[in-house]
Amino acid sequence: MQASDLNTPISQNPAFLKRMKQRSRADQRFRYYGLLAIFIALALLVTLLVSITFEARTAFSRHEVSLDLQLTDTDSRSVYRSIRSAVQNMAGDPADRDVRIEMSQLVSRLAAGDITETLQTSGVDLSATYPVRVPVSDEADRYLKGLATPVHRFDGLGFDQEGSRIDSDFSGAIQVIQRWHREQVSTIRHREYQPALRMRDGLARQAEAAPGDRQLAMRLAGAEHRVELIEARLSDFEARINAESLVLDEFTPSVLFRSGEGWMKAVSISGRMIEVEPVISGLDPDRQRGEILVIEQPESQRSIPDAQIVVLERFQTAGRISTHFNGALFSNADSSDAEFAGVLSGLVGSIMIILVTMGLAVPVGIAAAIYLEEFAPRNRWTSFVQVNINNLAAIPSIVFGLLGAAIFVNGVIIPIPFVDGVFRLGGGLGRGWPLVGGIVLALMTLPTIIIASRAALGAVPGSVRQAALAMGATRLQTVNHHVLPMAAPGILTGSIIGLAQAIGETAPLLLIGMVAFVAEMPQGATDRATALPVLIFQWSTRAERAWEPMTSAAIIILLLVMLVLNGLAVLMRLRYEK
Amino acid sequence: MMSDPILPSAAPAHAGAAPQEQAVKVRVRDVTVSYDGAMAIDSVNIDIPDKSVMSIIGPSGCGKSTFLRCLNRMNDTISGCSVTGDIRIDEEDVTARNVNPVMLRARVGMVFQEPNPFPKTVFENVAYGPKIHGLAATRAELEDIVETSLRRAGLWDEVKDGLHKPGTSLSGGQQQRLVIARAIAINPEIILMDEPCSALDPIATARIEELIDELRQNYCIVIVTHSMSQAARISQNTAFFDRGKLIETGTTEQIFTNPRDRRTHDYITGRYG
Ligand SMILES: Nc1ncnc2c1ncn2[C@@H]1O[C@H](COP(=O)(O)OP(=O)(O)OP(=O)(O)O)[C@@H](O)[C@H]1O
Ligand SMILES: [Mg+2]
Repeated sequence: MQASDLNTPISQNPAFLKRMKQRSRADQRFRYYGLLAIFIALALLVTLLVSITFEARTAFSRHEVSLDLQLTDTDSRSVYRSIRSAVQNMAGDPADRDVRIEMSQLVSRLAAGDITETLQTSGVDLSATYPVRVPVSDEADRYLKGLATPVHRFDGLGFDQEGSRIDSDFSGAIQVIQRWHREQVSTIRHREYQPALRMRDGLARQAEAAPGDRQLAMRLAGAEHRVELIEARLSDFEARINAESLVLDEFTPSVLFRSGEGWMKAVSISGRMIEVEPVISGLDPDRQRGEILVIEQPESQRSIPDAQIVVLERFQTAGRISTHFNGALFSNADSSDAEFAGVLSGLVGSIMIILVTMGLAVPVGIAAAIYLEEFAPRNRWTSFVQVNINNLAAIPSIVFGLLGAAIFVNGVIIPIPFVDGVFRLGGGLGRGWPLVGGIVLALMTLPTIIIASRAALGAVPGSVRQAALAMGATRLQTVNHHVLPMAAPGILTGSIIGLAQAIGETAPLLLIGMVAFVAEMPQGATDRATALPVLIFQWSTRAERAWEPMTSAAIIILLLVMLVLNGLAVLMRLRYEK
Repeated sequence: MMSDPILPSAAPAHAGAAPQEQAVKVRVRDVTVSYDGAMAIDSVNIDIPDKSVMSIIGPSGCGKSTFLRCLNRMNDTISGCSVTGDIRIDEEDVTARNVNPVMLRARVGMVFQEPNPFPKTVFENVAYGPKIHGLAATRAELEDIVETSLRRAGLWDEVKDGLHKPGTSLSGGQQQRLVIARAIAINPEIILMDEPCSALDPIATARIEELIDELRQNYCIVIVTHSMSQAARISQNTAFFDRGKLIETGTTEQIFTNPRDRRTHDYITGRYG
């Protein structure tokens, strides 16, 4: 009771002192929570950025091969034929049709297009060889970047050849092959054998509990069969780990042997001996230097065949392979070949879309916000409008896509009663036009801009309006001269947030028909186009592995675009605040 | 009781003799204001003579600011505020629907209770009125108006080197004088001042009082003040409000020396409560 004595000075009041301590502790705790939250957010962001950049790193460079073309004509068909024969020549002009086709796949048909263009503008002497540099196929590129398969290289010094047998020190290769088999055994054990065992045992228990169930019995039999199959494979692999000699085929690592200009491929290996079949003739005559390549990934599990690897290695030793910045990524439109694909068409599409969106959503949004905040009377009707604007902001973007497709592209078809006819409302705009995308995204962005702008306008103190009005300014002058400049930073930020959201939107664009593969640059807002996020979506669904880093690279470019946009907003904000 | 002598310090000082009969500038009849149905001032009738100063005095919350806002129709901008009655300036009804409040507000300048300079430079603050009303044909004319207004508000010497600093960076008292300069820059016919000296030191207050005295030669001034001595010093007429009602109005001399109503008497002698 003494504690609450009114005569105790507050600094000696124990209740106050206790409370004070609690309060400062709560303060401290809150600071730590805040720091922790910021730290977690930053860590997530950094992880995201680092992993995307890491994923994308290989997309920013590409390997190109220098070829000396023997041109017969300057049209793209003949140019491509010359490219093919230059590559096949490097492969020792194989007779086998399949191998020839494999060779021609090392360089994309699209490479001929670029060359033809320069040829036709600059002209060329057909009798001389024409040096060109063309990008290798995406799979070859992945191989050269070391992404397609691990490759182990050993020296084959002092080898001996006897018919189709080569005698040298293959211990390194054998080690790699044995390790690979051991890894296979452990993978099969963990990924296949154990789950299969669990499945079988579970079924067996169930079957025991319900002896009459025929279906269960059949499933059990199936599971048992599966276990047996895996066991057979396992024992096969296990036997091969320590086998004296091994047959090498497309299900085992490949062993390639090189000497001089010649290349051969091992079909079996045992101790110091490999049995080979020639790939390219021309063995080193003094039999001193050889090289052993172990391609760890079996041929059946990778997209680049041994024959292509051999040619790439030959180009490599001939100094004809070089690494370059992948300019195509920035200067090309989309393409079905990863090595020629670029984001430019998507970037241009996105810019056109965002210009349309900006042109519609920003003025309309700001005007609506000004009207609602500064001019409209406060009544039930305006509060109804306001509630519905907030509702609009919560509508999933895909719905706007549906709406856009229905209204702008297809039109709403209304049957006219009693007459055998229909009335089409709207429609007429093309599928996949940036114009349509822009309109749809503008509708989506509008509520964001209105809400942000209203908040910014509402934050302007009323005394400013009063001052201007009392000076005899009209309401419009009050808004234009005083309220808008003060609200501009907030309005700007809101608009930019809305636009940044729009630029990353994918679903509505897909729905208005931006799904098709568009390999041309869009010529205008009323041309079929693609957009950056759509491109990212499409690339991420393409099967070849080369599209993975490309997708990440496109994501980085999209992030950069947003960064630039946000940077602009900050700059404009700073200028306004001065 | 009512003949109790008034504090000598509250006697009219340099306001001079009681005003000669001036023409009525503003005629207020049966003006009632309510905010969301709650009455703030009730059936006020008052005549404000031209070329003189009228003080509005009264306890806090009695409706002084509300009354002032009726005269330039600033109450129109407050949602939920309804004004009824009849206000005539120069015998012209300004409450009529067809009267443009923008026009009215150019004629009736106002200095608010809280200084509210625009978040713009000192120069632009003062130049704003002349600019929007097109009072200056050239930049030189505009600069001239700005300088004169600032001088009359007693602020020129303090800001002449910082005309392009933001008005909001001035001190409270300087801001108060800045908004006075802004209000007089367009030569309004009537100036409404809501406690213009509440944030000022005695020197600045004296300067503003001088200004008011000078403006009185040409304008009609209505000033709300909580200082009895100020009311006595500067005004020729005084109106006393209490709880939304106009209790008494008359010449300042009469109100301060011989108030008719007991409440007036209590208020000005400090016995209100
Ligand atoms: N904007 C408003 N909305 C609602 N009620 C208001 C508003 N302005 C004033 N009032 C009410 O009207 C009454 C009169 O207020 P007013 O501001 O006119 O008093 P005042 O005499 O100027 O007081 P003070 O001397 O404190 O400035 C008060 O009861 C106040 O609550
Ligand atoms: Mg007031």
